[in-house]
Amino acid sequence: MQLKPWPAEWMRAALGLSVLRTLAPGPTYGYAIATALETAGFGAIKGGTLYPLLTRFEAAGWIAAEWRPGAGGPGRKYFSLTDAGQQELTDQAAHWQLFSTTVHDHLQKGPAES
Amino acid sequence: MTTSNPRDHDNSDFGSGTSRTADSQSTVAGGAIPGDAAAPGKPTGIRLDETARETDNAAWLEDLTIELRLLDVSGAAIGDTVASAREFLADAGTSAEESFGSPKRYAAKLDLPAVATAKTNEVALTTGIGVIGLVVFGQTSFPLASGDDDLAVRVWMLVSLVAMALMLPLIPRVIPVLLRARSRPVVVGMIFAGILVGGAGPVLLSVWWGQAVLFTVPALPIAIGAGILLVGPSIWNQVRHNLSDDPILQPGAESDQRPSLGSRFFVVVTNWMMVFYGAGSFVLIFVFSPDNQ
Repeated sequence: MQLKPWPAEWMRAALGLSVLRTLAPGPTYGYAIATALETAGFGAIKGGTLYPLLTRFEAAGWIAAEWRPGAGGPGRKYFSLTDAGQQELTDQAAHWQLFSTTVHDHLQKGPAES
Repeated sequence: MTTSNPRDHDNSDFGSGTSRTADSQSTVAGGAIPGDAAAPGKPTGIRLDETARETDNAAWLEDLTIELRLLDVSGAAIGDTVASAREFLADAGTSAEESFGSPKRYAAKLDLPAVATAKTNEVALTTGIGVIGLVVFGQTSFPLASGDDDLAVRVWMLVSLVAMALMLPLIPRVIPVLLRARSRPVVVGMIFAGILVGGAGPVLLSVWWGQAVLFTVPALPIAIGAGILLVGPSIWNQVRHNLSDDPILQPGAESDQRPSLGSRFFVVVTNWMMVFYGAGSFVLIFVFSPDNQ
């Protein structure tokens, strides 16, 4: 279990892609996304961090939002990946894998001999 | 449709702590789950804590609404944003301040599109016209109360008008401060005191040395004109507010979710404050004028 919080800079870099990945299996809502990320080891994700990200993705057309009615109010706002969001997830995931491998290799091998 | 969330297809109402995932459940004294306000048999202390938190969260959501309004976000987007935050808070069972930070900062972080950029300027313009109407109306009340048909325009009267005109650009800055401080009457009082001392002080000084009469004008027509300038902006704002307001919509709702009685009262009183003040002053001057005793 991750006890020490990840550095904020790392979280800022990885959270967007991770949120997109959380939405990949199907529509879900804010607290469920935060819970899924916490369960995955990202630590507690606050609403003040998550919703601005979701708003930005919605404006970019990567996700769509839909309110599903509840018993006594507007219910829950469900977010789902759009086709553009699915494509973005695929592209970013591949790019992140390359970046991650680059960082890992560098940490393992150190700077190249000149 | 297949969903990825731990509460698959859960459309239960807000605040149901029993639907929280096992991973996210945190227990407090007595084994209760935070946010489960309706749970029977819960210790009184916990219920009081939850009631206090719900009250704080409601105030926070009201503040968020004000902050989004100040950023000229549309009513539909405000309704959506506030409902989303309310949903998250009900699910998480936490305080709004803890989950979202300050309303002002959160509203800015969302970076929602603005829809009415001219609104602040319109408020400044109408308020400024009303202030000028109030000042001139007040100056005509003294000769009218004493049965004099002419208004002697003195140096200090012109100085006060110029002072008002110079203070007008500050109004768009003062309004957000007053709105944010609306729940703290001491702060609002200090702001008004500052405006009075800073604005009325120089004017009072000019009254001391600026008694020279520059010219005279008929008092009644000036009073009527000033009264129109005083009442006109309030009527304009009231009609515009009623006819072309951008209502805050609950997601999925077609009609507006009316703001609280306190908020509506605050808006009406603010809009008509100068008219009340001008009318009250006029009546008092008439009542206490030596010529009418």
